[in-house]
Amino acid sequence: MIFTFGSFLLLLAAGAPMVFVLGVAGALTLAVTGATPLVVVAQRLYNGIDSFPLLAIPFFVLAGLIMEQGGIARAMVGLATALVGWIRGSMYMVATVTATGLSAISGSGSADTAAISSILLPEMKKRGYDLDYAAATVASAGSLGPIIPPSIIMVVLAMISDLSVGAMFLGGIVPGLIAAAGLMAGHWLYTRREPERYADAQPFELKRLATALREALPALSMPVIVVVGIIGGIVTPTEAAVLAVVAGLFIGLFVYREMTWRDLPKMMLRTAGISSAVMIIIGTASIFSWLVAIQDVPSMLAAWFAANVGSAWVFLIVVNVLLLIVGMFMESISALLILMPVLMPIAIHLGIDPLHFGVVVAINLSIGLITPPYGICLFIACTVSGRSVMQVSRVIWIPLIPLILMLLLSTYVPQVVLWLPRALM
Amino acid sequence: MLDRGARALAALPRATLTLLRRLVELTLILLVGIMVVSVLMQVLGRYVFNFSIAGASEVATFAQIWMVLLGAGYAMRERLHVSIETFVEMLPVWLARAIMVPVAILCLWFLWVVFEGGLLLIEVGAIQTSAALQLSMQVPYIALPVSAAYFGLEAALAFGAAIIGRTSVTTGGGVRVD
Repeated sequence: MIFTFGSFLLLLAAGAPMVFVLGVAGALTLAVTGATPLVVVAQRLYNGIDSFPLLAIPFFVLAGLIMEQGGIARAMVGLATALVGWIRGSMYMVATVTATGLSAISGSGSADTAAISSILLPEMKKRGYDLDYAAATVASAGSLGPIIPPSIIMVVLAMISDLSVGAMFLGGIVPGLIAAAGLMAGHWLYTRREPERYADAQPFELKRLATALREALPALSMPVIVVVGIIGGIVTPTEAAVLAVVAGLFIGLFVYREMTWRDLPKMMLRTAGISSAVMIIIGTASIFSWLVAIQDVPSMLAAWFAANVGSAWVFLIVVNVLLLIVGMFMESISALLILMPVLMPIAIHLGIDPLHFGVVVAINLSIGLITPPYGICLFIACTVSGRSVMQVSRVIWIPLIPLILMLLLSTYVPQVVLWLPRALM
Repeated sequence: MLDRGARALAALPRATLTLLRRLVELTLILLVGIMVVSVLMQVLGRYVFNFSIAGASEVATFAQIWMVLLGAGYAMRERLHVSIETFVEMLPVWLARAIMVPVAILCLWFLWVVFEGGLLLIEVGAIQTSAALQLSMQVPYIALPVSAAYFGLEAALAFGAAIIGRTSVTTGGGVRVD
């Protein structure tokens, strides 16, 4: 056990890829104990990726790439400007609304942040906006990505914990929309301090909205396909993802014409690279989680928790805090793969609804995407804006407040999460 | 004359590597294409042509298994694998490089275990067939040793380059999808 833990720490500290950190620890444990033949390693690796629902990952990655390059993100910005550009601090509002729309296509907070950063941050700079707060706005808007469906975090979580991907997706909709509204309210309050700086808002015009809507209509088909497909239960999330890819390709190639057939192989190769890097970790983590399960660690911890803490409420607080801290330092997919096999059985033991718990964990990890020092959405927004993480960290707490309030609401009022999936499924 | 022959011989490993990488890239593109088309066929089959194509999801899943395993080596080459580099960034460069030696050995040992296990699974797969298409289970299992070998090659090249100081030990943390 010491040997396993030692190798885990050594590889982690040496900055080795997570795929090896988890794989070596698992394989070494088997080799040292010698009770199980090593062929189990290959077998578990294979079983970990032999899953139809996981196909949603490469498809949503590809949809995200098409969204970024095919002119879809740009059309969404146009629509959002016509929709909320009249409110004080207009570009902050536009960023939040655009990200909410893009969240319904890509399933990845970092992809959403990258897409809106490159379009909106230069514009905010031109208009003399507070660049630190602008970066914080874009990052926090991007963190809605894995809360609002589709969500790669949720696909992985559903697979580890045997939940329905569709139900998890539905569970994220209400918290995601509450968070978007809360972020906008926060920006509105923030800009109250310097109204003269944010005098660029244009009065609302129905005609402009109509024009923007007409232009964005093809782009809107992508989120509509995903959300309606999943809510209506007509297609599985994986199938919805493929339909979004096909629609996006059509729009990018023939409607907006910002893509050519030549871009396609490059995008497919990139999809393969990005998806493999994530999914191979799921494979090697399944060796790890299998070991954790056969040594009965979760039920031991669950029994300890039940005897010493006993309350689901206290457990949820502990999980909230634990995940916020883990999210600061660790990539969320790896964090999920390591922690969920232990946390989920405890939650079930304490009588917490697994679907509710799963969605809360996903929200928790999404907030980790913007917490300093290593939140990835924060990092991307800082890189594009040319500001340092330190500078932006001074204002990141402002959008963090509505996000954390939404997390607490979703954690302690389960209906916020469970109402929609129960009503529709 | 002899000199040119020797030089050509020396260039052979590099040319082979380039060819191999090109082959892997083309295979990966093809696999993504197969995945998209087969799931699309499944939906169209159900709603447009009114019959279900039983094998479509199996084809897509097998293509996914191949893509993930083979793509892991490609991701190593492109530095896409996620890693946590907070600690290693604080170390002096010589120490970071020195630590890479045992790390590389452990990683390559792991891939060797997958390679050997994969060969065993191929033997088992000879007498198994898949549920929908009645394909031999060797078809997906072959991906394990083939990919472990390719992943091992890319990993050895990447770790080697970092250890001798050709490239930096840190990779920028890889690409994220969360």
